[in-house]
Amino acid sequence: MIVSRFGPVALGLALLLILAGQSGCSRIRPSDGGAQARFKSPRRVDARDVQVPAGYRVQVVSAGLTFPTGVAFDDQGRAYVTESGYSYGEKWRPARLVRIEDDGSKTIIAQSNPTPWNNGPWNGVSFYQGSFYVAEGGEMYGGRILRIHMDGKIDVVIDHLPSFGDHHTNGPVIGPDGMIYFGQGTATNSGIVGADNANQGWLNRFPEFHDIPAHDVTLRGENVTSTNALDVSQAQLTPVKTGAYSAYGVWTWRGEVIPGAVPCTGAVMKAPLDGKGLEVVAWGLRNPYGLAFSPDGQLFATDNSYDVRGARPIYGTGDLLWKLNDDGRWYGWPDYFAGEVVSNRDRFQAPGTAAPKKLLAVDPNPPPRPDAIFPVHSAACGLDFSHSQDFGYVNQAFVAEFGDLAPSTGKVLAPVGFQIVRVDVKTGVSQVFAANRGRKIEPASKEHGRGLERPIAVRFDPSGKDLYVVDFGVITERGGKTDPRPNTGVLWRITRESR
Amino acid sequence: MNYGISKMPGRMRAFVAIAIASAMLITIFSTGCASSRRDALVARQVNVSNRQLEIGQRVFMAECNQCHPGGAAGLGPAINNKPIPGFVLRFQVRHGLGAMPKFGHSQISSEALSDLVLYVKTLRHEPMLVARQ
Repeated sequence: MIVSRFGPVALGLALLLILAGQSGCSRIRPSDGGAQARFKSPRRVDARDVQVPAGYRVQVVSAGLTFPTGVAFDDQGRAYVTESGYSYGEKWRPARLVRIEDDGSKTIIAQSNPTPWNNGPWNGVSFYQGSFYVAEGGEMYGGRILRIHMDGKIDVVIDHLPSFGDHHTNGPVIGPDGMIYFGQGTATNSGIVGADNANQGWLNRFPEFHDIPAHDVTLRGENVTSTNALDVSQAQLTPVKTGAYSAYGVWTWRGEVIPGAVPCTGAVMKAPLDGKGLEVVAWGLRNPYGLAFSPDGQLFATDNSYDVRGARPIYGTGDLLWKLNDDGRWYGWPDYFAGEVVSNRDRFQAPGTAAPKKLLAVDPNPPPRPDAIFPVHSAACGLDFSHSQDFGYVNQAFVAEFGDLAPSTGKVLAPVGFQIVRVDVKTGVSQVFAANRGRKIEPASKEHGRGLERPIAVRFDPSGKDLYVVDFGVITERGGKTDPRPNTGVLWRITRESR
Repeated sequence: MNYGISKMPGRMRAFVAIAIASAMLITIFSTGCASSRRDALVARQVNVSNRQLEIGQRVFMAECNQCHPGGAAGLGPAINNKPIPGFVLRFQVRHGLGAMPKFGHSQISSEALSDLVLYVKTLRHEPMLVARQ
């Protein structure tokens, strides 16, 4: 019989075809990220386009914000929002702290103009003992922690933070110990300065800038050779060789020791309210963006993982949620993802690129495992913990997923992020809490809706009954150009109406 | 039931078998590139009703959710919109394919893999939600 004779062969062939069918089209299909959309101004918002679990209600608090990044509440429970003043895409505005009035209108409390007006982004805000604490990203003059008084006066609490690169100074939050905790992102994607950093804009401004470890590290002497990104006329003639933790064009050798320093990049640090005596809480992070203390006083941080770009692209790494032990521990960057070494080519080699090689000869300590992993390119940003039965999900973390910036950070087959998730930090299980209605979760600009665009921060009000969501606004990616749109940011509020 | 296939002549039976297999493959190929289903995860959370599904969910979150968020497309293709047989899922997890890495027994035990497959099948059966109002 034909069927019985060729049965096993046919079965094997069918299995192969099924598998090929599943994976094949993912290679062929072009990127379809959330930013790959056409947007026509103005942005229109309608809370009915946002879906939340039964019993919860979404409201628009204020719209028309420009690049908002954080929300905090004063002693009277009034909401204040930071407008960052800078967005990827090299779009600059004065950074501002604005109070959101009951009718949604805005009152400017403080702004970075005039000194210096272009040192954003202001990445997050906290309120403590009558003042606001803001992380100033430091794209032009270095990162700073600012204290803003209610009358708008600005004090510099901490300055000269190494924040000229890809990632900025983030946070801050005030801990149960009364200390300021903040995140400092890395200069690069994965430890080596490359042409992607010229594309980001900063390499031309600061060609000597590079990552800084918290403690001395010994290198394996891995270098990457690329065309000259700083001198396009010589691009093909003079290849540039660059090593880890080194300026563009500076190569390293096996056994070379890079001295550690504080402040460093890729770390969470803390200081008293006067800013003196900076300490490292954790390092070996990539971009610790969101910081929050759980109801039992434990510090958690979101960490944006590697991209498929630059001198050392690393594939398939989701964003992370870490419970940080305040012991100065190293968490694995630039050689590990979630406790797994990135030289594992089966896991981390991007199609069409070289496998990433390990950079450090000696690991500072065994890298720990994270408490949760978010989807690749979801850009897990701000987080907060529910602490009230009135809202529910007590002790769970709520995380704002900013959403992908494909294709510049790597290809995706569908938009990733653009939602609020809640995470059971004991199990690492995350569930979608708020996202746009429709067959797919994608930004409103892509689906021509009026719902969420790019959630970047979440924070419960002092009563714990309302969850405020800061929505950065529209960013599109076309022809290799990142295009953030001013006046498209929104502050949303989610309230539980019934149990 | 054999739907009368056993009464057909040998060549005819082979033809029918190939036709059925082709139809299945076309279905799988076509759904492989179809839109994924995500909205079910918002208002109606995945019902983890027993210990097996609970373990499967944890394994999914640790190893799969990165590339297939909630079973939908992301970095990788959707897996919640196609009828992939359990044995194919197991084979693909163990051996990887294309950009998908393989997962050995040290990462996902045999028992955990069974629970994972059960969970992935559950994702498929989550009901669709209301469209935009």
